[in-house]
Amino acid sequence: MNIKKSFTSKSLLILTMVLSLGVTTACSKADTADKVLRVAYGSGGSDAQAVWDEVATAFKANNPGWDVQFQVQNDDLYETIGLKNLLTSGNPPDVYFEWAGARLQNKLADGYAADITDAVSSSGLGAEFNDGAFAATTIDGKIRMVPYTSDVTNVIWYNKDIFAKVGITAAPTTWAQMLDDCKKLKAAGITPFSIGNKDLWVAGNWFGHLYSRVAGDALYDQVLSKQKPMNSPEFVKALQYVADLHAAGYINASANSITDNEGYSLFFQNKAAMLPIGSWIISNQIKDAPNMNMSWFNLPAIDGGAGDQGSIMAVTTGYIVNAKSAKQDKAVDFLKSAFSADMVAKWSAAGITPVAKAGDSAMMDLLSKSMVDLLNSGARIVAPPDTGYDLKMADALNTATSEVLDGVKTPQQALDDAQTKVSTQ
Amino acid sequence: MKPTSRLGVFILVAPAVLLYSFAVLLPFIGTIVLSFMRWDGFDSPTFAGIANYTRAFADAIFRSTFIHVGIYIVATLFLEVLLGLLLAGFTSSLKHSSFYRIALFIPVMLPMVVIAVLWRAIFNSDYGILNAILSSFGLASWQHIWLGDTKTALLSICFVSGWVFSGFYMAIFTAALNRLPSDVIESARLDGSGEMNIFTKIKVPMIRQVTSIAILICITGGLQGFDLFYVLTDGGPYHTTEVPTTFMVKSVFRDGEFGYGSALAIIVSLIGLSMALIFNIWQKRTRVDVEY
Repeated sequence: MNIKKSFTSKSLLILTMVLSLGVTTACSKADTADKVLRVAYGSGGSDAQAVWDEVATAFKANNPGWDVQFQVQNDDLYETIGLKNLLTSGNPPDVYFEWAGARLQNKLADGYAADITDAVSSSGLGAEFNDGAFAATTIDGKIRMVPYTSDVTNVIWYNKDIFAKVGITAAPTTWAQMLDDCKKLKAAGITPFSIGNKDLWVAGNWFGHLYSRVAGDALYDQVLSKQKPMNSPEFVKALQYVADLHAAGYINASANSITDNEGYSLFFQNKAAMLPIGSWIISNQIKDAPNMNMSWFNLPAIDGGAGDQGSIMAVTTGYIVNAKSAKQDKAVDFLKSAFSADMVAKWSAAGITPVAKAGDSAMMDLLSKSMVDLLNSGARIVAPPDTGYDLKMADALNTATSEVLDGVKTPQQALDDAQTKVSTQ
Repeated sequence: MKPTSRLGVFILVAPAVLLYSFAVLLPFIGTIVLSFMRWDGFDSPTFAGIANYTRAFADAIFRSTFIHVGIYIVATLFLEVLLGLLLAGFTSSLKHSSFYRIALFIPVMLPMVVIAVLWRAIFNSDYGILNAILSSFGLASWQHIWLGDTKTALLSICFVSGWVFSGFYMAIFTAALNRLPSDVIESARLDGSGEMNIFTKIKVPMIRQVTSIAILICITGGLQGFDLFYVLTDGGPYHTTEVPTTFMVKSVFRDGEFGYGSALAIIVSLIGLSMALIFNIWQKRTRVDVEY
C-alpha cells in the first residue's frame, strides 16, 4: 500500500515536472517565434479594412516571416473599455489607434506611448508628412503618435435639393438665419434636423461646439476639465438654445432613442433636411446615398456669444506605438507602409483623408477637399467633449444635453444634476 | 467503489474543486478585495476603504436602478409567470395543444440579443412596424417613441420580456399540470365543477410548489436582467431604464472604475442572496401539504 502510494505520488510529481517543462519550453518558443505585429483600432467599416489588409500585405512583403494581426473592435467599445482591455491583456497591441489630446496624454502617463521621435526620422516615416503635421501628437518635444486623420467632428450637413425646394438659397451663417430656415422647413412639413443620439455623443459634439461658442472657449475647457462648475450661468445660457430648438420641434422627436446610423438614414432618405455630424459622413453618403446633393455649413455664429464664432470642432486621430512593445521598430515600419504615398491614395479612395501629405486634394472628392480646407483654414479648433476630455465629464454634460433635447428638464435643472453627478465621482 | 487512499480522493475531487475555484471562488474573492480599492485598470490599485460602498449608497442613479428593476420584476411576475400559468392552463385544456406550445416556446429558444435587436426595429418610431401598423389601422395618434419616452421605455422592455419568457413558464407549468393525478380532476368533474373552477381551485393550488419556484426564478432572474436592457435602451433615456447590471457594466467597462463596479457587484449579489433567503423562509412557513 505504501509502495503504491509512494509510486503514485512520484509519478504525479514527475508528470507535473514534465508538463511544466513542456509548458515553459512552449512559452519560450512562442516568445522567440513571436513575429506577429498586433494592431488595434475601432472598426471603420469594410472599405477601411480593405486598405488595412493591403497595408498588412505590403508590410509582410517588406518583412519576410512577419505576420500582422488586427485587433478590431466596435468603435464605441474600443473608445471605452476595449482598448484598455487590449493593452492589459496577454497579447497587447504593438500599435493602436487613439485620439490626440487628453486621451493621448493619459496613455503617455500610463506608460503606453513610446517616444518615436528618432524612429520617425530614421525610418523615413516623417518624410511622408508635411512640416507641422506632428504638432498635435508631440508632447514635451517628443513624438508620441503618428497622425492618421484630422476629422472635423461637427458641421451641419444639408440636403441642397430640399433647401432649394423650400426657397432657401444660401446656407445660414448666423443662428438667427438658421432658425429662419428651420421655420421654413417645418412649415413645408420637413423635419429640419435629424440626429441619432442614443449613445449621447452625437448631440454631445454638436452642442459641445455650441457651449464653446456661447460660453467661451476658455470656460468650455475649464468646465470639462473640472475647474469650473458645469452649471455655470454661461452653460445654462448655451443649453437654452437647445431647449428652444426642442420647443420649436426642429429636431426629430426620436433623437434620443435611435443610434447615430439610424439618424444618418433619416437624412439620407430625405426625412430631414440637415444632419449635424462629422466629416466621416462623406463615406456613408458615397455608399448609401450617392445621388444626394449634399453640402455643409459650420455651426452658425451666435449673436453675443463669448467664444470664437469661427471655431471648428475637430480632433486629430493617430496611431501610438506601445511603449511596452518589444517590436517598436517593426511597428514604425508598419506605420510607414500605412502612410506611404500609394497607400494614402487608397485611404482617400475609401473616403478617409489621412494627414499624410500624399493625400493631396487632387485625389479627393470635393466634399472631402472642403473638409481639409476647413481644417487648414487656421480656425480655432475646439475638442469634442467625449474624445478631448474625461469620459465621465463628457457623459454628465451629454446626458444633461439629451435631457433638454427631449424637454424633460430645464437647462438649469439638467446642469445642476450634471454638476451633482460629477462632484460625487 | 471506495477510494483506497486520501490521494485518490484528492485526485477525484481536484478537477471539480479547481474548476470551481478558478471560475467562481477566486473571482468572487477578487471582487470583494477589489471593492475596497480604487483601480482604473492601468495603475496599481490603491486602498479606498469603504469609500466605494458609501459612494454607491449616495449615488442617486444606482439607487434608482433598484426602483426600475423592482418595476420590471413586478411587471414580469404578471407578464411572465401569471401569463405562463394561464397559457399552460389554456393549452392543457386543448386536445391538440402541441402546435400552440411549440409556437409559444419558440421565443425562448432564440438568442436574447437577436430578440432585442428585432424588437428594437419593431419599436423604432421612424421605421418600426408597430407605429406603421397603428397608422394603417387609423390609430396614428397612438404612434409613439416607444423606447425614447420615459413613460413607455421600461414598459416596452417588460412587454418584450413577457413575450419571451411567458413561453418558458408555460412549459414549466404544463409539465406540473400534466403530472396531476387524473382521478382528482375527474372527481371534481363528476361533482359538477366547471373547467375554470377546476383550474383555479384544484390545479393551481396543487402546483403551488412549482409556482413558488417559478416566482423565485422570475425575481432572481429579473435582478440579473441585462441583455434586453442593454440592447433596447442601454439604460436610457437618461438612466430611466438603468438597472443594476447595466449600471455596473457602465461603471467598469465604460468609466474604467473597477473598484466601484466591484462594490456595486457585491451589493447586488448580497441583495439577490437576501431576497432568495427571505423567499425560502417564507416558502417554508407557508408550506402546505396539498402538493401531490
